Amino acid sequence: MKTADRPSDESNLTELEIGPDGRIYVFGASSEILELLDKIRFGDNRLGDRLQQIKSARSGVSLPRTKTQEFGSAK
Amino acid sequence: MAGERGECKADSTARVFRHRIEVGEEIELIPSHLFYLSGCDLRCAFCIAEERAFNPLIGVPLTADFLQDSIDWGSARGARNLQWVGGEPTIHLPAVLEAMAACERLPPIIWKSDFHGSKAAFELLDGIVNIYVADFKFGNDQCAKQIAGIANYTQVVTRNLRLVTSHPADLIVRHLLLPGHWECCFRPIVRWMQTHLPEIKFSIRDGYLPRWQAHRDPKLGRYLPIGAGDDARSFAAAAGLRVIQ
Repeated sequence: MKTADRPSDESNLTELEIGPDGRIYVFGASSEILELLDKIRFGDNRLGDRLQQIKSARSGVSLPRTKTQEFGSAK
Repeated sequence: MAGERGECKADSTARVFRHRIEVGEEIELIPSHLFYLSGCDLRCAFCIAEERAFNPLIGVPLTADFLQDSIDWGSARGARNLQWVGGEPTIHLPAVLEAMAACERLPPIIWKSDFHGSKAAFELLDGIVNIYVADFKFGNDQCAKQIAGIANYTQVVTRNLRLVTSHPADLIVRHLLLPGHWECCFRPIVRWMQTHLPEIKFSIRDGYLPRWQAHRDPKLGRYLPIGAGDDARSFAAAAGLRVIQ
């Protein structure tokens, strides 16, 4: 086992908690879980922006390194 | 400093109890590779990480080899940056700086902190960190003392917030809404931001859960009302703050 894998047991674990009023809380969300929630029309319209950002990251857009530059898609 | 322990009970070894790529952070940060370091200087009654946040002996020791392997693992899976979280990473600053200094390939560095560290600690981060994510948790010292067991909270946090604005780094101030703390915590934080850091990005988190010891407190033992996050974002935006998602 590679050293980097040792504490990664939760790397693919997304925590979902359903509150008493039916609201669903998502922690440690993976991109796959977000895509799943989007497909089942989870009801949070912020998911679309988040998924778009993940796609742009996959296409190689990177963060700049100074405060004088804007970054990402959240304007 | 070997062998000496402060309030956080940590020693000179930092330990990682989890690292994974997450997409639940602020949109401009994701996908982010989060390294969770055990040990914290606060004892927030609602802490979602519970024992793993407080016990600095949990996890594998942070070494340069481990860090480089992990960074490569994350980069291969699309992570755009490395984010130090906790617990509280600032209590492990020497170990983190040493490990990063020995790495050949570092992505942009995000420092997610309660900002309750010393001035000297944040001066050491000058030029190292690309983006600070500051958890501005409480709007007054009484709530900080009652909920997190610390004194002199607002003076320390606001001093450090102002300090890092002079660094060549971006800053995101984050506030987790707490049930029943709109008037005493949320509004004073908005007012302070409006007065001192109106240009700084402000992120309002509404995923509060009544975990750990929160059930002992009649206010913290509840969930946030539906719509609290939207109400808070509207309030902050109306105050002129630069609200981000």
